[in-house]
This record gives sequence, C-alpha cells and structure tokens, in this order.
Amino acid sequence: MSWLLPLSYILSGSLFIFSIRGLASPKTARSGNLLGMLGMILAIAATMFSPLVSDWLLPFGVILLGGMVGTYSALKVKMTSLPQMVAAFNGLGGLSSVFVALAEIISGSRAYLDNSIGLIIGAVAFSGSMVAFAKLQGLISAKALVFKGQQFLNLVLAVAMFGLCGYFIWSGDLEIFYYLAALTILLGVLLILPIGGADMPVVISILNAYSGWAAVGIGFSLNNVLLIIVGC
Amino acid sequence: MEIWMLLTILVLACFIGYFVVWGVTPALHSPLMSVSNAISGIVVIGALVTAGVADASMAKILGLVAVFLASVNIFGGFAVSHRMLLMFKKKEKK
Repeated sequence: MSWLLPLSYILSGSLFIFSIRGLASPKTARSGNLLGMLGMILAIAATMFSPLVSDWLLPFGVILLGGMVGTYSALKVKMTSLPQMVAAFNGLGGLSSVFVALAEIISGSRAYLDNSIGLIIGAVAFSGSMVAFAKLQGLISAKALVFKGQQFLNLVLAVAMFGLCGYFIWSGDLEIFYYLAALTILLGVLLILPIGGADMPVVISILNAYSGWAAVGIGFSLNNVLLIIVGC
Repeated sequence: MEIWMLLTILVLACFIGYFVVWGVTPALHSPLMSVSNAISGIVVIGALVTAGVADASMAKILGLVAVFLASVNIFGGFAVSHRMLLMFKKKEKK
C-alpha cells in the first residue's frame, strides 16, 4: 500500500489550498476552516499509519494532549487577546521545527544544510513570536526598544550565525548545532524588540511565513513533499 | 535528481500560495493569518516521523516534544480562527 501515503498527501495538500481559497469570502470562510482541519487530520492519520512510523500510540496520545491544551487555551482566552494567542501558537510551531531538526541531527541525519535551515528559521520564528506575544500581552513595553549600536550588534550576530551554520555543515559537530540554536533564538529576540506594538500584526504575519519556511527546511531533510507544499 | 524535483514542487507551490492568498478579502485577513498559522503546524508530520521510531532514544523524546508543540499550534490555530469567524457571522446578522 505504498501509494496510500502519497495519495493522502496530494489530497491533504489540495484541501489546504481550498481551505485558504475558502477564506476569500465571508460566506465560504467557515467551510474553509473546516477543510483545513480535514486536511490536517488526513495528513496526520496517513503519516501515523504509514511505514514511516512504527510506534504510533505514544505520539497519538501526545497529539491528543497537545490538542486539548491548544483548544482549551484558544477557547478560554478573551476575544481581545486573540492576536497574541496567534503569536504564541506560531512560536510553538517554530519551536517544534527546532526540536525536529535537533532530533534529526542527534539521530545521525546527514542532511546538515536542510536541518540547519529548519533550525534557524524555526528558532527565529519561535523567539520572535514570543517577543511579539509579550508585547501584545503587555508583559514588556510595547514601545520600540532601540539602543545604540543595535543594528551593528544584529549584524555581528547574523554574521556569526551564518559562520556557525557554515562550520556546522562542514564539520557536522553536534555541539556547534546547539550553539547555533541558542544564537538564533537570541537574534530572533533582538530583531523583534525594536518593533513597536502597533506593527505587531505585520510581524506575526511575517513570522508565520517563517515558521512555514522552517517546515519546508524540515521537509527537505525528510524528503517529505507535503511539508514542502504546505510550508509555502 | 530528487532535490530538483523537490525544488520544482517548492517553486510551483509558492505560486499557488501567492495567488490563493491574494484572493482573500482584506476583512478576512486575521482569520487567514490564524488558519495559515494552524496549517504551518504541518511540521507535526516531520515530528511524527522522528517520534515514531521504535527504540527509546533522545531523538524520540525530542520528537515527542515537537509533536506536542505542533499539535498545540494546530488545534489552537483552528480554534482561534473558528472564534474569529463566529465573530463575522454575528456582524453580518446586524
């Protein structure tokens, strides 16, 4: 039944496209949301019962647990706090990419470049979203935080990040990968701090795209077509 | 040549994503953001593959954590969009 998984992925990818398409007008928006859920259920079920996954029971339990936490917090939160919820969820998605990349490298994956991309973008999406969340929630000042030499510092960090990334791809040293993760998370925080609260929706939108691209990176490393399609 | 096939798919998918999102009315942009946020939780598939290995290892634990985080992202994202869309319905009735 080797055709079952690719077929489900084609279906699920199409469902996601129709899901966004459904949002084109308010009339079809709710069915669009439902199509998205359907596509997600299909993708998860197909993967879980495919030969790629030998132990599905434990991950399934974890999905239920995460689903309960996510649904509960999304339904409980006040209407006015929804934007920061989106930011927070987005950050978790980014963090998830980071963990997948780490797990891949630890288990001896040779796809250094792909996993580095997944790690870097995921980490920026994570820490950036967390800062966005904190600003919208009022945990930290929503004002733009600017200090002298900030851009220079960011430049240095970015150069260091690419340097580390290159060194990791060349050496495959696991320790370097940890440093890379830490550095990128720091960079994500610094990138979002100077942006004021009013611009947060734009920031979340961009970070949302980042976490999608992180999924693309992971998709390349796992040769998983669905991840690549949806990441866009 | 697998990498070229994947890159082809990536580029074509980018075009689809671009055009589909352009079609969304500005009023629905916040639910759009929330839905696409939920969809980007598709990384759960990658997490499932890493968490689904038979032997207990560090990688499996990290994979399970990733599955958890991604599923919070997915369910939360869809639930938030659902609430946003409910809000739209009320407005229309008025």
